[in-house]
Formats: sequence, structure tokens, C-alpha cells
Amino acid sequence: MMKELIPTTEEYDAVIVGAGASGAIVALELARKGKRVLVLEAGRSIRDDEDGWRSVVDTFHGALAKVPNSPYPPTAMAPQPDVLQLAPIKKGVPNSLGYFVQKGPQNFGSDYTRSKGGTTMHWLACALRMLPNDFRMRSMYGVGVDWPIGYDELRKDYESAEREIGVSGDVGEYWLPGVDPKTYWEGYTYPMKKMPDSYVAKRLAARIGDLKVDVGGKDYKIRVTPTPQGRNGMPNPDYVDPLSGKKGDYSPTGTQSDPLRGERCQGNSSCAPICPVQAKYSAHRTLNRAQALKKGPVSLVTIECQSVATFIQTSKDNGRVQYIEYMAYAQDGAPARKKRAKGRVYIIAAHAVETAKLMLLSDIGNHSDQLGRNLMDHPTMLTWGLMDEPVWPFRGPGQTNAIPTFRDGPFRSEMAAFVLPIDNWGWIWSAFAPDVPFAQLVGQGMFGSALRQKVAHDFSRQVTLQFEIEQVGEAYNRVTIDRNFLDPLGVPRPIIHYELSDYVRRTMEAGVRISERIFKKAGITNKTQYSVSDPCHAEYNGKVYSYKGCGHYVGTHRMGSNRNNSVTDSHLRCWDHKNLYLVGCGAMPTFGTSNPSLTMAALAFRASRAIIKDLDKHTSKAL
Amino acid sequence: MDYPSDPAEQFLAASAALTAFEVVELQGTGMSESYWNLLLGRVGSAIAGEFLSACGSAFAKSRNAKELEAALGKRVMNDPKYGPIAQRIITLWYMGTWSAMPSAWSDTYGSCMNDVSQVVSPKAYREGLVWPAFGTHPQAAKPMGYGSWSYPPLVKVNTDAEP
Repeated sequence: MMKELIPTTEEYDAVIVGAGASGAIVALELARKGKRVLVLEAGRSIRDDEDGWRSVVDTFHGALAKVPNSPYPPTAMAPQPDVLQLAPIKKGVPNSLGYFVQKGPQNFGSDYTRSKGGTTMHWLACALRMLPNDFRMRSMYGVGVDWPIGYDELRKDYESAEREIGVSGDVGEYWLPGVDPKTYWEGYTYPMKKMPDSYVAKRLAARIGDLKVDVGGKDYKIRVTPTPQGRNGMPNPDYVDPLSGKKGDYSPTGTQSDPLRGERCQGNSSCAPICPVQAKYSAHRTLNRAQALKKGPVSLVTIECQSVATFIQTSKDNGRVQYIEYMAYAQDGAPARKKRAKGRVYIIAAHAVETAKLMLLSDIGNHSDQLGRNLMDHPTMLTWGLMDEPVWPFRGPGQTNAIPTFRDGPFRSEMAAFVLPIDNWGWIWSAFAPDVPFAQLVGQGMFGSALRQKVAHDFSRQVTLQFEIEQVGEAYNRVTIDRNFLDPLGVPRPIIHYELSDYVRRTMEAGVRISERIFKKAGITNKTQYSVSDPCHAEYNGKVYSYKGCGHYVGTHRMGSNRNNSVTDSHLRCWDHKNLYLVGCGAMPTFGTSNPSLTMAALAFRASRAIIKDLDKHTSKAL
Repeated sequence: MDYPSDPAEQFLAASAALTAFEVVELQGTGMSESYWNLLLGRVGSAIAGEFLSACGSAFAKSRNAKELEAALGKRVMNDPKYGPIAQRIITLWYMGTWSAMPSAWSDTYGSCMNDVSQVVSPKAYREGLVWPAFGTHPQAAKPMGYGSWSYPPLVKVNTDAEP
């Protein structure tokens, strides 16, 4: 029999799987040190030049359901989950309509994007640091696990991440529970000044006034503060660039094809899923920076899209990775070509689900039995209503302000913490506004001046609060594979097992009570409706609560203090395979109430240092 | 009230009354021709013509805008054949979206092959009138400028009257 001839790449310093934010940052950091990097991306290369970007914006405009992945062309060969694929899960019958096979009992309500840029294509760009207590949940509150590192060890990497992403925020106005601003910030300022507060948040703050709400026998003051975000605003003259050490010379990165556009958010009110002027950070920026680094005329970073990693080959002798097998496809449906990528070090940065899937497929790195487990999200319970004055929603970034009051407190030993963003886009998430409420009015027979008045009156008063609830890792919430469920390339699809614990459900119950207090004080008539027919719902004490996925996939290859309790060490190096790093949100053992991308980016900087050290220590091939 | 004789103009006049936007505002979207052609393709020219005649009879019976709305309510909106068409025309102008005719309607009056729910075009979405109707702009188009979201919109919208 003839031996199959598989084309193999030349040997790079590093092979990275995934061209999202994590992979991009590692590529950039390595290239800055002169390392040669190959990036394999499963999805397509969305073009961020003038014509390419206009075409995805047009796709979004023309999409009937304007869901997070609607602007971005899907590919059958590297399918992605989509919120439109959610459906109720009957007992014993998984929902396998979409890419995921959802075994339940509850639906994992989130999607992600498999294309160059990853899920930063559609992220909202909220860039919250974790709180110090979020890193020590076990020792503080007896739930979840502690990180092997604390906030202090990550602070400088947060600063690097905020520079790379370009974060607008105001340290002075940013009150956080249980945090000493002196030690938390150490005199830091964000690269850009905070995004202006939205009108709805300003009115809500004014109407809430000095409201206090009791939780677990303790009164909490409801505070509204600005949300730091990865969106271009006014450069902060006090900002000291950690790369150059210079003060006051920060310049935002604008539109790829026209740097003079997009240097400032212009209020397109569509950050998720797409900023038409690229004033919102996407990993394309970092990839562009990385590809601009050259040795002679040759770019140090090569990106191969439409290349799906399918197997990680390790040595039986020493456990080191020898190569990564991948399938390169030209067109959907056409036969793909098997290839091998060789490097001295390998970085899997493919997304919390995809990284776990690839590791499980390769049957490696799972001495701890934690691989694929501890899958978390921020299940987001929405409450919504009509305020008694117009608050003019659907203008500005999706979130400029939030109530951080319940991000930390003694109650965390009993129930989950939550952050409470104020949605600047009315009922878009809670009731598919404006489309569905409009269709309802027309369906009721309204027309002419009565219809127009009703639209003006009601839609200008829409308010939604988002209870983004912390989850802690549970062994039963996990990604597995099953060779009975394959994608068109023949790669097993992720099987998702997901259940909300009582730790989360207690917060849903408390959240409804807190929402009622806020609504009453602020003059908001409650219009919230939860139903067992919502694909994502949970029951607690005989009541039904609906939730949405927040797109925050975390925990599937968590780091830890030893190889028995975790998949990687605190530098994201796989315990079982010394030249293999697993970088991304999957590394986070817990994530409190912070949108995870900023912490993920900080961890990518941390891992990059360790990778560079490894590469420099072993200049020979035998890494 | 006056009703034009040209069908495309009749379509505009009827649309203005059904949406409570001025004819000139509808023309300003640049969508009137494509919406009229779309209607012909979705329900057929015979039914589209009947629909415009029904609207015309409401115009003929009315002396002012208030009477016109009452007459349209009676002769068009509440009519099993014309009501669903009127609802779809309203949705076209407000949302830039065509909704397929209800199946009960198609059972009675027939169906056209291309009668599917869709955003008519990216431009149709951008020209949706729902956005200015409550003081904003379509998402991902016609931005209002950095920081504008911190204050009420500059263009006044009357939101006082609870209809």
C-alpha cells in the first residue's frame, strides 16, 4: 500500500491555532521578538479593507434576524453556533439542529464566530478587569476554585491588554465593590477618556437616587458607573504608554483602510455585531500589527485561513507535540487537503469550546480529567419596562454604564454575584425591538397617526436591565465529543452539557426582586415576561426565569496549581505537554462578573512571555 | 380628498396616509419605486390595483386627514383582503422588510412564488422610518456623532400623547 504523502510546512518558531484575539496577541508578541509564527484559522478571512468591510456591513443591513453572527459569512467546513439554532431541549432528545449538540438539561445560549478575528468581530467590547476577590473564590466564599495567581500578578498584563485593545474609561468614576482604588489601579489611567454616559443611564441614575436594596441582610446602595470599553474615544493626556514610556502620545487605531476614520466612535449604535468604522477593537487590528513586522522583506507572521486543525500529534517518548494536522479547504463541499504544521512550540487559541474539542480529539492533556469541564457563561436574565419619560434608546454604544453594586459581597457564599448593565438599545435583546414590538402594533391593526404616535411614545421609553450572573465551574457543565455527530469535514461537533446550579438560580430570584425595587423608584412600568417556551429558562421555587447566553465561554481548560486539578499551569503551559500552550478564556478557573475578553487578552500577554522564554532558552530544535 | 390617477402615485398617497409620514418624506427615502414594484410582484398587479382602488374610495369619501384615517380603517384595514396588504406596506416603509402574506390570505386570494419574508435590501433597512419615528437612526448607518447619545436627540419628536 502506498504511504499517504502529507505536505508539511517548514518549521516555524510557533504554530498558533486560531486567529482571534488570543492568537493575535501571542503572534504579535512573538513577532516583536523576531520569532516566526504560523497562524492557522479554521474560518474565512473577513476582509477589513474598504470594499470587504462595506460588504459585511451590507450583509448586516440586509439580514432579517440581526443576530451576532449575521454580518459574517458562515462556512459549512468550519461551522459555528448561532443563537438562531436554539430550541427547547426535550428530556433525552438533544437539540442537534445547529452546530452544537445540546444535551441540556439547559441550553447554552451563546454563539461565537469562526473566522479571522474570531468573536471580537461581534463582541460588544466591554473591557472589565476582574476584582481581586474573583481570583480567590474558594478561600473567600467557599465556592469554585482559587486561581494560582492573584490580581496583583495580572495587573501589568491588564495594562498591556488595555493598550492593545484601546480601552476608554475613567478610573476616578469607576467605583467597584470591595476594591481599594489605590492598590487596584496604582495611579493608572486608561488610554482614552471614558465614553460619554448614555442619556438613558443618566436619567436612570438620577431617578434611582439613593436607593438601597437589601441582599442577605445587608443594605446595598445602587450605583451607576461608566463601563470601560474597547472603543475609540478621546485620548487621555495623562496616559503613559507602557511600550514607549511616553506620556500623552496615545493615538487610537482607526479604520484599516483610512486611519483618519474611526479614530472616534461616531455613534453607529451597532457595536455588537459590527462597527461600520472599526472604532471598536477587533483582533484584525492586532493581526495587522503583527503582519507588519518583518525580517527583511518577509513578514514574520503567516496567517492561513480555511485551515481547520484536526489533530495534535505528540511524542510517545516525551509527550512533546510533533506537529499539528489540519485540513485546508478551498470551497465548501470540495474535498479538503490534509496538511501538517511544524513548530518548536504550539499554541492552541481556538476558543474555549474549540480548544477543548481539539484536545479531546487528540486524546491528550487530560491527566486531571478537567479538560472540557467547568464550562461557564454569564447567564443573563433581562428585565424590561417602559419608563414614564422618554429616555431615547438605540443611540450610542450598546453599553456605556452599569450598576456594579453586586459584583462582590458576603452574599457570594450563598448566591452568585452579578453585574447589571443598562442596555442603551431599549428592548433589542429582551424583546427583539424594534422589529417584534412594531410587528405586534401593526398586527393589532394600528396604522396612520395612532401607530406613529404609539411608536414615538413607547419605543422612546424602552428600558432593559441585564443581570449578567456569575457562574463557577461545575464538573458536569462540559464539552465532550461523540463520533456519531460529525461536521461536513468529518470532525466531531461539540456536545454541550449544561445546567444552571442553585447558586445561579438564587440570584435570578433575588434579581427579580432587585429589579422591581429599581423599576418602582425610577418610574418604570414592568413589562418583563418569562416563559417555559423560551429555549433558555430555569425554574426556582416554583417560578420560571428566562436567560440569554452572554457569549462568555470560560473554563474548559482551566489553569491551576498542579497537574491533578488543572489542564495548564499559570503560564497556560499544558502540564502534560511542555511545548503546548492553551491560550484563551478556557484557561480561566473563575471569572466573576467581568466580561472575559480583557482578562483573556491579559493572559495572552502573560503566556507570551513564558513562550518567548522557552524559545530563547532552547535555541536548538530540541525544545 | 384628492387621489392621483397614476398607480405609482396612488401607492405613494395611500402609503403616506397609512404610515402618517408625508409623501415627500416617503419620496426622500428613495424607496418608493422599488416598493411599488415589489408589491406588484408579491400580490400580483390585479390585486394591487384593487387595493389602490379601495384606498381611492376612502380618499373620495374624506374631506380631511382625520376622516381619511377613519375611512381607511373601515374600507382597507378592516377588510380581509386589503387589510393584510396595508399592514405589509406599512411594515415596508417603517422597517424596510416585507413579511410573507398570511397563509389564510393566500388560501383565499392566491399566492406568488416570490412572496417570502425578507429585508428588501440593505438600503431599504437603512431607510426604515421606524428609527426617526422615535428620535434615532438605523443601527450601523446614519450615525448621530460622538457623544450625541448623552443628550436627547436634536430633532424633536413628539412623544407626549399616549394614543
